[in-house]
Amino acid sequence: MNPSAPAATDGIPPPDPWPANLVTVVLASAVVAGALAMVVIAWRNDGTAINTYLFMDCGLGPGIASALERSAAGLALATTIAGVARRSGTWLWPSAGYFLVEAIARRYVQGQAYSEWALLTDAPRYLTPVALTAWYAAAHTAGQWREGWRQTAAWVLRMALAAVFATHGAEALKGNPAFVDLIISSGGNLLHVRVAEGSARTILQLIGLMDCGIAGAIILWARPAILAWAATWAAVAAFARLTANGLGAYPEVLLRASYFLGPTALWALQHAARPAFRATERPALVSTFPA
Amino acid sequence: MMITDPFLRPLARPASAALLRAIVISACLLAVVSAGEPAATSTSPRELPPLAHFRVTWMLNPATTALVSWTTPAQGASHVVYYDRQSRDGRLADYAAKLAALPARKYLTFPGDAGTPDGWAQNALLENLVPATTYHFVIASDGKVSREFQFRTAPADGRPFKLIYGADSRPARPDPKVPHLNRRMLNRLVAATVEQQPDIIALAHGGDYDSHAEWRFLREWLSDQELTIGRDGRILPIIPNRGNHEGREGHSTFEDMFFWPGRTTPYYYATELSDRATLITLNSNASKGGDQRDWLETELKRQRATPGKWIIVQYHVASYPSYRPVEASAAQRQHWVPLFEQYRVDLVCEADDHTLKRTVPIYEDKADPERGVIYIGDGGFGVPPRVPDTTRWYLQPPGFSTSALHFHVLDFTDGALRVTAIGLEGQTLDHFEVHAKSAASLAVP
Repeated sequence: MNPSAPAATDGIPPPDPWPANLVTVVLASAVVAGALAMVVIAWRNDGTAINTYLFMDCGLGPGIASALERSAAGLALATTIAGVARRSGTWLWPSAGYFLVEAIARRYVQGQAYSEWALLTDAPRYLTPVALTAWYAAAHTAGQWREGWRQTAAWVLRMALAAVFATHGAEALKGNPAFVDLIISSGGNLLHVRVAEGSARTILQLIGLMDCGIAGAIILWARPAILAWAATWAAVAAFARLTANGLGAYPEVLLRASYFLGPTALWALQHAARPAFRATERPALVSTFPA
Repeated sequence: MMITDPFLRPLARPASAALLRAIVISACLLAVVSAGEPAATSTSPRELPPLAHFRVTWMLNPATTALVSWTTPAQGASHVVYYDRQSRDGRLADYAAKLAALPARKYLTFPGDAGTPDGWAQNALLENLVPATTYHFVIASDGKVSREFQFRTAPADGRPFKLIYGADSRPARPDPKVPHLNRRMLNRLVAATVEQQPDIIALAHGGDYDSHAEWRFLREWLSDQELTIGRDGRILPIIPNRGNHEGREGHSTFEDMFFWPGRTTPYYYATELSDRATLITLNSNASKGGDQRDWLETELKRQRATPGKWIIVQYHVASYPSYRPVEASAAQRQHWVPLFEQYRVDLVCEADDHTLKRTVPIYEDKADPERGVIYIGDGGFGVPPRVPDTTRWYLQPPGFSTSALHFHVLDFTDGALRVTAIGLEGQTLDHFEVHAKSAASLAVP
């Protein structure tokens, strides 16, 4: 026990080790995958919206813009790996900040459909490190403190996942052309079926409704079945980048790792609580920390 | 599992816990609040005269149809185009024909446009024109009368003609109050080029006109575009393409800037430049594999039924990019490129990467001088140029790529298509010829 950690356990025993370990592994995998994807994209020619912002808006030379972006992405990956290795939330903040800045830059430079929603669609990317930070804090503390941080981690994930499912649902309902092509291209590549655009749009309507339903359910109930479905569906949507556009699109899957690993981590977080707390899961706004 | 992290010790204090939650909640609120429109940039809008932004748009049947458009500061009541096949020096009563404008359309504005005076798009669709003919026209809006302009209709026969292709004319910084000097220089160069080569009939713009497809930005592009008007008042009709910075359907001022009455597709269409050449405009913002692909196949089959016809395609995001990763255009290479190859498209004009490029002739993702399609681009009509990745296989000789502002002149003369890239100083940056592919070299579709 760390001497600085609160000694009182309030009679609450520590969580089961296996779901606790699962939370750590899954969340750590998600943040490392995301940071790795950013490095891969930064090292390709076009880079992220940060590169575009530095080059177009700040007037930096293309070489300097790329060097800055690559350095920042590399630093974010290095600190993420260090943070995971040291189980230190502090080291995760650079990657959270990098993802947040990238989302802001994408929203600012535009050029992509629905880029004005980037802060919502990217929420799991920059909030998963925050959730992992809270989880590390939970592991660092005991009793009600542990429970407070566990619930904070859970609610950060719930808000992030709800944001991404809701915005993707809205985009699907609006018929985002990129989503239409994911269906058409995947249908052709996997099943050798030519899906008409009208059919793809009908499917997207159903997907949109389902995504919005999942977003609401994650906030309101977050039952294991819902989380399992959310994880499965998010994985299908992420890996559709590969089935539609080939294996070269793997960074797009890595970027979305937090989308399908997030529900898994959330499920494990629920099981990392003692039954008494599972039944009283509530928003982090209502403090479970000792007064 | 016990963690010993000195950095986390402060988190065991209530104040720190509250701070962390406050940060998370603030981030979420920020995301929700800012999910609407991008923040406004500072604007000091250029003063517009009562009549401004004179332009002619071609989309369908340019031999007989042209859309004359302009901007007024208010909706107004009376907007008329007077036109004739002879110059009448602005004497309204002498013009042979006049046409009232369609109902005025207010340019779509966004929250960032606050402080920029509204503008109204006036459009008059001139139909039943005579092919290959110069039309002189003046615009009269609520008592204000423009100078006399002129434009030429497209030929309907096999006579030679030229076409300018340019794309990506947005500035470095999205600030409408900063003059876009490179764009203005290139526009003046276009005007000079047209004076030297009067057989240039139109300007195909490959998209990304300005940083954002919002009124305060596009009004600047429209003002700069007037610099392409010749000293004799000749306006080069624009064949517009939608770039990724033109936003999505129904959420962009682009649709007011390039309105077309009765438009049935999201800006993919075929423009018959003559009875020997067609320019097909595709929309890389729309679904590539859906209705657009079906339309493209039908259109290519129809066009290819005319033996020896030149088929040129333009769209914004490159299928064979010179800067962005090749993987990023997988959908286009899956859905469009096989059709280009099957129907023996002669030249593809691309954009988006802010470089000058010419690929080797490409067929089934390999260099093939006999059956391959050449792709040019990649957009340098004023945008800050990027440094291309010259190591890509399709940019090796005779292909090439470099960092340069430019536009292309496509010369359809004597059974060959001559392509010339013109630089900012008017210098030739690239020149090559395309010869019609023999039908025997390819499987008949």
